[in-house]
Amino acid sequence: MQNEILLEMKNIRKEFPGVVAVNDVSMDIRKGEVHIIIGENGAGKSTLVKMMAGLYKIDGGVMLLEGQEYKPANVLDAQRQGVNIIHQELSMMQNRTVAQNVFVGREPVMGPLRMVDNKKMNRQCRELLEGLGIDIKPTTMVKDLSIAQQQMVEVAKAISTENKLLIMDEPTSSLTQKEIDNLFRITRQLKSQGTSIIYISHRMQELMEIGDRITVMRDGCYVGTRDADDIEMSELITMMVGRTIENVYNRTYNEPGKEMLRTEKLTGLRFRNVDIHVCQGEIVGFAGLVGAGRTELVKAIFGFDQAEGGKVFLEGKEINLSNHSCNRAIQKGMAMISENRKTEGLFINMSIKDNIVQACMFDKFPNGIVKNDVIKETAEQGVKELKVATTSIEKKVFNLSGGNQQKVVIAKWLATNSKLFIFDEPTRGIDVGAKSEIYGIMNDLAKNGAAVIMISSDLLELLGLADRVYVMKDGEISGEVSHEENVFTQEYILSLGIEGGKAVEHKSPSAAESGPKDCQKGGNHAAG
Amino acid sequence: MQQVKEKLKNIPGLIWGVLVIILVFIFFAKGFTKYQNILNILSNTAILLIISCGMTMAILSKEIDISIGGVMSFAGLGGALFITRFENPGIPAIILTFAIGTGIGLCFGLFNGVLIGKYKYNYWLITFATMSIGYGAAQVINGGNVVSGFPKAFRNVADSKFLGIPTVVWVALVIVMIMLFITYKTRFGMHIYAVGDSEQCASQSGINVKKTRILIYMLAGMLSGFGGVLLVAKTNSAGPVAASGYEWNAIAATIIGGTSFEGGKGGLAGTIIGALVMSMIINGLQLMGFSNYWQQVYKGAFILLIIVVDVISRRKKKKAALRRVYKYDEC
Amino acid sequence: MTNAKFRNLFMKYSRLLVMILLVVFFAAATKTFWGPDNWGNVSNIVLQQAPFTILLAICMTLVIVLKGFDLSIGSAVALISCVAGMVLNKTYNPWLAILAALILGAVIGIANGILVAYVEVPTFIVTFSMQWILRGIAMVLLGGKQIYDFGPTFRNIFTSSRYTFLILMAVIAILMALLLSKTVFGREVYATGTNQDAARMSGIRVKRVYIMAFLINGLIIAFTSVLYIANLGTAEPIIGENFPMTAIAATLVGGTAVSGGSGKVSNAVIGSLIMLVLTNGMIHLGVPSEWQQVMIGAIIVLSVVAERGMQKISVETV
Repeated sequence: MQNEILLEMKNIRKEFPGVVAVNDVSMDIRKGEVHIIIGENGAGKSTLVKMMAGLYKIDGGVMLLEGQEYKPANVLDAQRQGVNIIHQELSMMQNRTVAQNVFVGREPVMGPLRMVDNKKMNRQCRELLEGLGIDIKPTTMVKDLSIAQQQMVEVAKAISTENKLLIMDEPTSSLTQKEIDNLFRITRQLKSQGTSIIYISHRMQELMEIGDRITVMRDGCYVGTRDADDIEMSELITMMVGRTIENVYNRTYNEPGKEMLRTEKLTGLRFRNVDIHVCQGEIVGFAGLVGAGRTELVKAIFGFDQAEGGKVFLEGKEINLSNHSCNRAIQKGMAMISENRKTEGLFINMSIKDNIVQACMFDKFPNGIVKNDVIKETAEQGVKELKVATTSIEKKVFNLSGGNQQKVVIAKWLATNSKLFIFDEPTRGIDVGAKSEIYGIMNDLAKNGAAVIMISSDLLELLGLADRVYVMKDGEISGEVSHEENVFTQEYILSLGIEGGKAVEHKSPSAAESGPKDCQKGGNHAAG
Repeated sequence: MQQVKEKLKNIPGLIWGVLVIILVFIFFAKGFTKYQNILNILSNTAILLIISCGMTMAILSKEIDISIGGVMSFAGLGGALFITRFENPGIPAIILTFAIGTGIGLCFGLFNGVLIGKYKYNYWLITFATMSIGYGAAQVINGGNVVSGFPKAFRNVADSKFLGIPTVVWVALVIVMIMLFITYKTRFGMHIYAVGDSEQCASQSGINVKKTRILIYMLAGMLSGFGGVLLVAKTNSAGPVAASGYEWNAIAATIIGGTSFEGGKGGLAGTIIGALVMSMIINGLQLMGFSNYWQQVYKGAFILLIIVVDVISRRKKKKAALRRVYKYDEC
Repeated sequence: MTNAKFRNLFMKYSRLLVMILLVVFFAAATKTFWGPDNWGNVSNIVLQQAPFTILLAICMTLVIVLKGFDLSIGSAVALISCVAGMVLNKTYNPWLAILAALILGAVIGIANGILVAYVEVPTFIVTFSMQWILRGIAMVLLGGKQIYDFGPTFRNIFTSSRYTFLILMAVIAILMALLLSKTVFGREVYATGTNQDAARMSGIRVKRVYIMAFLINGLIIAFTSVLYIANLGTAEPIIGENFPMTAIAATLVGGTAVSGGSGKVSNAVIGSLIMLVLTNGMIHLGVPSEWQQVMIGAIIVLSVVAERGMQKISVETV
């Protein structure tokens, strides 16, 4: 049974405007195995599984499910044929109960009037959740659950149908240890029932724990498949990155300069009592689970969200938080590359030119009258500087690949006089070539004296680039690690993010006291 | 029992503010509490409630149908022109009259539903356009004239009494019961909520979102058409702008009843109260002797006010919910 | 490549083509619309009707670029006309009346803007409620009466030359076109209409943009109201009931998309002309005027359907 093939993929190809996301991938999934797919951000893992789940149509190649040609028209069709996916992003109905969410679209009905049988639905849901060891009442509203609990409800929902193949796309990125253990138990249980599972993850040690086979992808291509039992971690990393880590992250560390940003007990909707500081010439990373409050923190610093308490100092001067806005933040020298490139970073239906000049108009045209030649010049300079691959600055940005789109966003901010750059997941959905260019830009910014904040869920990236890494858990800073400490490792940072560092505290001196990397206490500490 | 509690929770604090207004009416509006006036309020509520059912479904699905007034006017006039052909209409003719009105509503609803549900055109714009088409068509079919003086048998559907209560109220009761059943007890009802709460989730869970939306607009259209004919029977006149403003009363009734523009939240149970409140307010303003003009100003201001209150309270609740997810309340 | 270029060129001027075809059609099909011995009708359209429709369509364009609608324009014209008419009636001073109109227009605009920007109520709801309130106030003020007596000077200012309305309209249209294309504010409007979150992230003060846009909107409406009563010679509270419909139809027919972020003054001008030619031509064809409202509704639906069709055909050449 272990070696029977469930799903076979032959020469699968998928293109998006300007980029080949999945290129000529052939692989197979066996019955009753846990198959792990790994790769860096933008390697094409998610695109590949989304094609299996019917979310994307394939542009080339064939898929065979149990020997029959498999061509799902949509998610529903895929589900009918026994392929189900648990998404990376939650899509739950917030104002409905857990049971209503689990059984949406297939509510049990009774009687000649086909009334919805709420009792039966709640009972079935309770049985399902109990069977999975999830301690949630079926009648609870989903909005009252934590993000991790919602993720588990999603898992329950996916499992409640008959599946031949269950795809989990980074299911653990928002889970705490307790839920991760539970998820692994469920995974093993499903496996013993003969369900095949595809599991996408960034976290290496998870793979070893539950995987049977591991497939590595890089730049949209298939690199290789190995049995989990006989592969070394170092070999996997080499397969993933395709070269040694050092030469991707070409980081030149500088002596940190004056303090650029400092927060004191900063509190907002999803974070509280955050004390951080960032100096000129530094790249400061933020690690943590999805939903730990990292994005909300930087959005409050940038003025996009309202902070509720605490203080923020920029170059030693306090920012008036009650009167803070993106506009003021930009005038004071901040720049933010948002994690949602398409909804917050770009005007997707506008030209490259219009996108690049959007943030520098106030500087360049103080009297309010626009000069077209200045705009053109600025845009052309930005395109040249960042090597955006395009034939014209008039091209609409939705025609560009993810990497080039991100470069347009960065070009927008380089056209302003910013001194503090906030990068939120800057390499998500970007091919490796563009990625190393973006790393290069970040390094150059730091070298030239700008302060850089970088949020990333890719720990390798943080380890390769950051001077220091703050780890957040449940909205609070749970630790700080400098690149000069010997605990600057994936395992330690992960443990801080998941457990709050309790399990491993004895290994490290209290991170907050790590003296060597504090900024030079320069003259402009006036407000402090 | 749990569900009843949930539904009660969904009735917002707005109701308390409204109660104050009603108290003012009780003390200052002459004859507000008289038996005859209460019957009057009830029969005014009846028609508003019927069309509010459609509006509630539309708003639950995170959209809106403002074609209601136009559809009502056109359907009412269509039915009126039919029934006036009879000196002494029998029951079949009366049923046919209502069927014509409902059918006209159905056509409009189908048109809205297909364009909005299937082809995803902007719902504001499409229902706004059909509203205009409805009013325009009502002008066209009778040259802009008002029809009045209908056979007694037809008027009796709305304008007589059964057990001391106007028949129009009984008619509305039957329809509301059916609609309550549909929205709370059927799969389709569940799907209205699902589509309004998260369209993405609904479609990924196998709900036919297009079909659901088309059905919502069809039902809303049918209810408006039926309500239009009922309005003719009740007022004994049918004019091209007879139902002008009903869409906004229906929106107000829905929002007062706790269904919010956020979609997927609230329900018909609240709308019943909302419609009653709306009728009381209109009635109270009349009794307090405000001219039609002032009533219009107050009504506009009032609708704006409740919508603003709804939006602001929703924003607060959302923040509180976010915080709850992060368990900050415990700290 | 040439094919694609040709197609885009065609798309760009398709509306002009539609208008020319309509004019030719009505001129051929009816004797009264436009003929060698009948210039009156067309000059009437251009000099007496077009300025008003175009000004209202420009207002609507500004709001639709911001992804909204303004349904209060009709009632706003009614209220402002009544107030200006009353001031004229009392003082006979035209400049005082214009000042009063502009102040009232600014107040209405700012009220709409604040509700949209700060309370984040959909523009549709705000402006529709506002419509009730404004017309109600107009009714309360005049109680269904009309005002005729504007004093000796007022109408002379605007009607001494037949071209005054056209010229004033052209001045405002050019100013608006410059505002939208040549100023930072104009770029902010397009950015906000395209993507409000991205606009905020880029440092655009979105709330200010909304309020400013509605303020400008209110001022143009006030100006239009003054022109309107000058042209009509009376002020009464029931004028302008069809204005929002007509303006929305004209804007959409002109090619401004309801999805926000696109649309120009030239679109509003050409769209208004198409609507005027169509409604006027229908009357000359003998279609009863009752059909007009049905037709405008149908045109709105058709133009959004056509817009999507056009998007599918158009190809990007750069």
